Amino acid sequence: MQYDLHIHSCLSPCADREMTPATIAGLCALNGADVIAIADHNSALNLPAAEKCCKAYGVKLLPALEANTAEEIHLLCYFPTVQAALAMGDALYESLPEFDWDPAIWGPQWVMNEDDEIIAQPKKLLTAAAGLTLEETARLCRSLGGISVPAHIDRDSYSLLSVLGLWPEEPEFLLAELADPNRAAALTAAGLVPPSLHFLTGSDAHCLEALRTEFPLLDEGCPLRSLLK
Amino acid sequence: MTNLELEGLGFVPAGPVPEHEVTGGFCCDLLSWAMSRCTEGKVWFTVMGNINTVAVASLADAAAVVLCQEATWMPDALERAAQQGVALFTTDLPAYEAALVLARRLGQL
Repeated sequence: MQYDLHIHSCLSPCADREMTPATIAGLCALNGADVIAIADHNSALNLPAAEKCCKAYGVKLLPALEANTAEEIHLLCYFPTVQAALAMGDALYESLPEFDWDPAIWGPQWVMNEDDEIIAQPKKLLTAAAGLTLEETARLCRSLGGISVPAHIDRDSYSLLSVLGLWPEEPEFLLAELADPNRAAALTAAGLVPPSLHFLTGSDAHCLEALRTEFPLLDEGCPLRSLLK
Repeated sequence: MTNLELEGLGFVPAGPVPEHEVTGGFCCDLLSWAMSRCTEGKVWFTVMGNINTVAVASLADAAAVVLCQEATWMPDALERAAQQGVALFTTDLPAYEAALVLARRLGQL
């Protein structure tokens, strides 16, 4: 099963405007993906369109979002249904700070339909840190039937290891995402991650050029498979 | 000075304060950064009230950690600090102003 489980759509203000759910689904299908996840910052509002587009193009959608916790740790959250992802997105949105922001500086936030039309623009800045801690975010994700995965733990910013320094005992994570999959062995050998941890690697694509043309394969034992049934 | 004087400077103890010599101040919110830079005897000013802050402070043998600008300590952080003998405080002051209070006391201004 060829995957890319970390793609941003034009709902993320930092992503290119061409990254509509329809375009992402179409290109990923063309490139040979079996399963993809559109994981926008703190929101799942583009997933209803993504689900329709993925179905039309014959690629599986794993409902997802990328929470930015109160500690500014990016936590990917994967769900069994779009509805569960939307519920998580609602809770995160509720907890986001109210402050005036300029779309000209931060970028616009487009909720799209399956026909590439803008149907809404959320008022709060989605890339801000939510009011929920890492533990609260992971707990909420689990309560909605989801699985949370610390994102790009090998990066210097917005990653669990860069912010917290040490791997936490709680909450327990089964998986982590690496920007560079080759770093898994070194992180494990250094004792920075638990030995039983599964790894994913995502493109974290914010523009069309960054979408994968070659995909990694989802491990047989990957816990996310339970969400894909 | 020792960390027992911090309360007198207006910092509020969040748990037991085992005595520790104070050598200076340190400001940082990124724990991976603090791990290699916070050194023995420092009073560490931060807004990160996570349990890992306590672990980093313990590793560095910091004199105290002051949680600034009304940020709150997580309950497990308080528990771990009591076990490991790390002195935790809170203050309403922003980190910059809190650090100035310590700097004045240490004669660094």
